[in-house]
Amino acid sequence: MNNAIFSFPHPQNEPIKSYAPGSPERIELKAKLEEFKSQEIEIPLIIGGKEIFTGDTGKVVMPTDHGHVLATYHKASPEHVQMAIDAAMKAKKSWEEMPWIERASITLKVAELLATKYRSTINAATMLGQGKNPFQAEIDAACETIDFFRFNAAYASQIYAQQPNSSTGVINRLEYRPLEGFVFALSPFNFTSIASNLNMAPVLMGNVTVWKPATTAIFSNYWLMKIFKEAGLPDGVINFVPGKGSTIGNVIFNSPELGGIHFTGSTNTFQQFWKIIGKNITKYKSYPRIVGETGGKDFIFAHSSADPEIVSVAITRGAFEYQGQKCSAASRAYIPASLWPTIESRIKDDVAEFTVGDVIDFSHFMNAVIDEAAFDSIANYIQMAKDSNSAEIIIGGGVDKSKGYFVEPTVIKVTDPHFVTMEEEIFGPVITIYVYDDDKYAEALELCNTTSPYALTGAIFAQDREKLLEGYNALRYSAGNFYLNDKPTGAVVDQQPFGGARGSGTNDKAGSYLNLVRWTNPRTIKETFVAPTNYRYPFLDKE
Amino acid sequence: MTINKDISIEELIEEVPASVGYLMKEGIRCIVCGEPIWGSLEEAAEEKGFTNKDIERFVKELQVLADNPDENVGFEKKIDVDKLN
Repeated sequence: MNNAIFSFPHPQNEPIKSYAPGSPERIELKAKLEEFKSQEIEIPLIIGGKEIFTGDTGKVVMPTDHGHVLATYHKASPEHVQMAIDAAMKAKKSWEEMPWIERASITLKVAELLATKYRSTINAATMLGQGKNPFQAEIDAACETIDFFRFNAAYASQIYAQQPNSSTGVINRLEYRPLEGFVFALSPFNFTSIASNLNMAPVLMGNVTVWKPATTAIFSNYWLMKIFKEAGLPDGVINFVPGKGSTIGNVIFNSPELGGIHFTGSTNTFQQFWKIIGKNITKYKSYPRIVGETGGKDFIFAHSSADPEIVSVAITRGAFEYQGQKCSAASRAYIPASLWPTIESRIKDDVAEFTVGDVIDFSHFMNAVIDEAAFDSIANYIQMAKDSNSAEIIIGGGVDKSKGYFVEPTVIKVTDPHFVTMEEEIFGPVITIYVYDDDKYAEALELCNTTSPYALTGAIFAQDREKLLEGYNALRYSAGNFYLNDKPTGAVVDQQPFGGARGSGTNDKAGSYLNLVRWTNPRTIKETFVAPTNYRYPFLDKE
Repeated sequence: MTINKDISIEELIEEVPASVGYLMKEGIRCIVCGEPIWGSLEEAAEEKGFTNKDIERFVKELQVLADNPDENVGFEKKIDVDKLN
């Protein structure tokens, strides 16, 4: 008999390990990196708990050493996608009827496995497959993933505890059903934690998923699947189907059972499948719940009262960590002319110390971008700056894909505030600077607010509180995550719920209860103990 | 491989990496957030307002890139690492 009214306590964020020389975690991580590098595994589809080897394969390589194959992965055909939908729908009833405490217990076990037994595994897989250094892997694949699991259990406790009022003789309840159908989880390459959460947030609330991982993150994502299973996740609750996005999407978006989409990726893809869903709207049994976090053209904006040293560090950390491949990465900056010489000098000094190289060598601040296509795209943007009269590359600009996909940290200074690299998301280690006249603060704020269709993250720097407030108000809708005197990256679960609006997504704030609510389909239940036996109301009586 | 207007952008990029740079110079971004956009070459081009005639030209020029993966095909569309360095 399970009759406890249970509530998961509010947890603490997972502490970040240092990986300093001689530390046990460093030794363990190095050993795991060597182990993974010494083998080549095969990654199947996992549908209804069964491993499926389709024979249509691709290679998983290291971004920092693209000649090194980590794995062969199998691609899903349309038939496999339908199998995954069927497996999800078969698993749905027993999963949604499982007491939520039991569901949460499974997800919390995943957190503990990641914090202990599999910490080095998930970090090493993320480093090798996605090109992260130990710190970037630790804050993502270990800490943020663990935080999502632990805090989501607490948020679910809060959500389920919220119940309507009941008057005398009546009991009102809200039953937080999952969505009626399956959830399509479409995850990006850049965060293992997001890949996990796009599945596990809906799953915690009783949903089942069909998961298309990013092709370039399959290595770590496959390990997640194995850890989920070890923690006790029933077969079919999450179905892992690597393959071409449009092939998979074509089956998914034509399924009447589509209940929701949990997406992180490009604005273009998000808008494309939203259109398809709109076109197919009469096919579905319910309106698909669309939750997406997409692109950004994230900014740093400095007022002349800002501390130039702080602004400089925000630029170097905000733009170049993980090679600028964070949705939140700073990629344009508005700097007052009076501060620019100091900031330029400091950035040049700091970047001169950066090294770019293999993830195996822990001394590198930066590593490679994710794959050849991304490299080519970034290199083309750099070339556009080289070819333009209104842009000047003042730092970096070098690229080399002979061994790994390496791009130097690059700073472009423009005289045209609408130059292409000020407006378009590059998703690489490139930031563009526009220097404005100190006395044109308000005009520059308006420029920042209207230059990009995105509104994900942004940061404003000022010591003058009135000017800070002016920027805070002028840029109200320009970022869903807005930072005062700090870099625009590094959102932490439960501290800075993450998401943006405008072209950047539906702003459903991963890392807070706001996201979990989206995976519920509440049923209101009213029970009346003594119901009326006469239809007539008193006002109908004759005087 | 044979290029046609119905080829998916994902397949095009996988088979002809130089298509990323080629299409960018034409104003079509096929890598966003580090990943290929969905849909066909024709759909991506139409979204940017290109005509059927433009798309036919893209197909022809991309075919040249596909047939000459290791050569400078004269478009100066490919990434030249040495030149960029």
